[in-house]
Amino acid sequence: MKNGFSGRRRSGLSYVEVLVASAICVLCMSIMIQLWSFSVLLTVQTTDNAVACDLARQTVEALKETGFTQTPEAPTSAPLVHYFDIGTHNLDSTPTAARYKVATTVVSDYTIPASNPVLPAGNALRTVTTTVTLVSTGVTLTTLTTYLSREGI
Amino acid sequence: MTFFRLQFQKRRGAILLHVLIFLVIISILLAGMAQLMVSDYSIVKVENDYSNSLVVAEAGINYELRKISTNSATADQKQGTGPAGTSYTTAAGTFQVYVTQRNPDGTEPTPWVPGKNLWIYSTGGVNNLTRSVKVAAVAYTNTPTANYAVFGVSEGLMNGSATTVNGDVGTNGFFNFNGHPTVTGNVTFNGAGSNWQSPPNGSYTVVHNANAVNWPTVETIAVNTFGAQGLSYVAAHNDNALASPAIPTTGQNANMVLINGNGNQTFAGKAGGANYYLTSLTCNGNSKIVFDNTNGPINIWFGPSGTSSTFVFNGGAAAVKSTPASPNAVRIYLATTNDVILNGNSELDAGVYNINNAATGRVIFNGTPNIIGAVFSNKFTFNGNPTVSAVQGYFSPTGSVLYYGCVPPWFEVGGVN
Repeated sequence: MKNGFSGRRRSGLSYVEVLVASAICVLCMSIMIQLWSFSVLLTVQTTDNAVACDLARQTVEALKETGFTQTPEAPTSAPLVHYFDIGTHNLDSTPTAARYKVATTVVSDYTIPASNPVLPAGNALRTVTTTVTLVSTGVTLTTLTTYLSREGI
Repeated sequence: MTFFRLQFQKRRGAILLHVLIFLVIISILLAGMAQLMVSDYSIVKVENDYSNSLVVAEAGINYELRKISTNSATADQKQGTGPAGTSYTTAAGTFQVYVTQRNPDGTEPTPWVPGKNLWIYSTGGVNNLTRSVKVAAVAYTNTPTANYAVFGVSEGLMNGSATTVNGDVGTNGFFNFNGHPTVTGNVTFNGAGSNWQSPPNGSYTVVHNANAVNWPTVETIAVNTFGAQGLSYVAAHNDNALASPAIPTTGQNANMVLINGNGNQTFAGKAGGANYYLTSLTCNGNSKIVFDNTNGPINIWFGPSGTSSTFVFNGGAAAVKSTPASPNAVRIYLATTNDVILNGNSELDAGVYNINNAATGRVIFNGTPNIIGAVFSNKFTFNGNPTVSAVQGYFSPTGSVLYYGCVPPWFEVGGVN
């Protein structure tokens, strides 16, 4: 009798054991899935930040190469806009397929009066602001601002 | 039964144990992966900040360039104590900027003198990261491009019709052509009010420039050549002993040349330039000056600045001609106030520069010398029938500073690359 009773106790314990193990497993798996999800999100953010910074620098350097005088004025109301994918390939022709939108404004504090298109005056300081956003959400990833001056760097 | 009981006893707790072991392993792997992701995120953020700091530093360079181009007196000079530069918080970020002079010998004295070459230093930062750049800059001027053979800062008189000028004739003041001299180039009037004093007898190609031409004084050229002591330096350190006969530098006749009859005074050149210092030079009779510039250029400086002296000159043919001004060119600088008289009928291969202030100093051309070079003076008078043929490269005007701009080189100060 004693042995039979013990056998029943042992048999019941195995069910409890499985239940506890399952509960722990579920709990841990949910935490792990969250951790995995966080890692994936962080990886995507890291990639976005890196690409956005590259695109901003690339845009600023391109404007510097164009030069103080040749760079067109681009006010906030009509920024220069370009679209890129994650490989920084230009997708201006298919902006809906793009991941990043790069909007650049170029504003001179002095301009040549009555010039059309607007040209910077020789003594102007031109403020270049490049903003990179995610096309899908509109979230701003980075903003880079610099100055252009005549015969500047 | 005993066998099964034993088996069951052995398996008791195994599932829990296996699940826990599995979870620990997976957790360790995931934690490692997460740590890697966070680390990667942090690294990218720092790299972005580092990259953007350079953009901010460069923005500081352009900010300062525009500032000194607008008003060079407001340049942010390097400070001797505390932070070296001035800090600005702008739309482009926060940067600290200052300027120093950029001398050819590599020294960087402060304060920077407007008009001179300069270094601009700028340090920009993002999120406690900073990067510094150092960029060379120069003044861009409106230096005129005329091919002047003769320039009279305040006035020019041409008497006689046989005078020939091959090149341009210019002034910031007025011209009075008596007779009908030949000018193959332009007659150029520079600045407001510059014009004919009385209408010329012939027709010339006349050019009117809005701005006067700024010529440096002889003293300024001397300072730029010898340092702050200028003419005083060359008075004490010169090559008078190279002349033949040697020119004394001490005694009653120190730094004076007087030749009579058929005598010659030869000035010899040397590599890097021979610099002679004279207080007077007089050629009487058929005596003449000879330039032996075979071994290098010759510069003759007349001083002290603003004093009265005698300069009566004959001859001046050079061994090495200048077309254009050769590396061995002969240049005569006069800082004294008396008239300069160019006599004789022979060739003079030299540039004569007699600009110290607009009120005094006139070059008077007598005889029929053939002058191949350039003659720039406060005033000039052509008597006789000289021929002056312009050779470019002897002297340069200062020009007015229009703005400042960057030139190579460009350095990152303390960069990691």
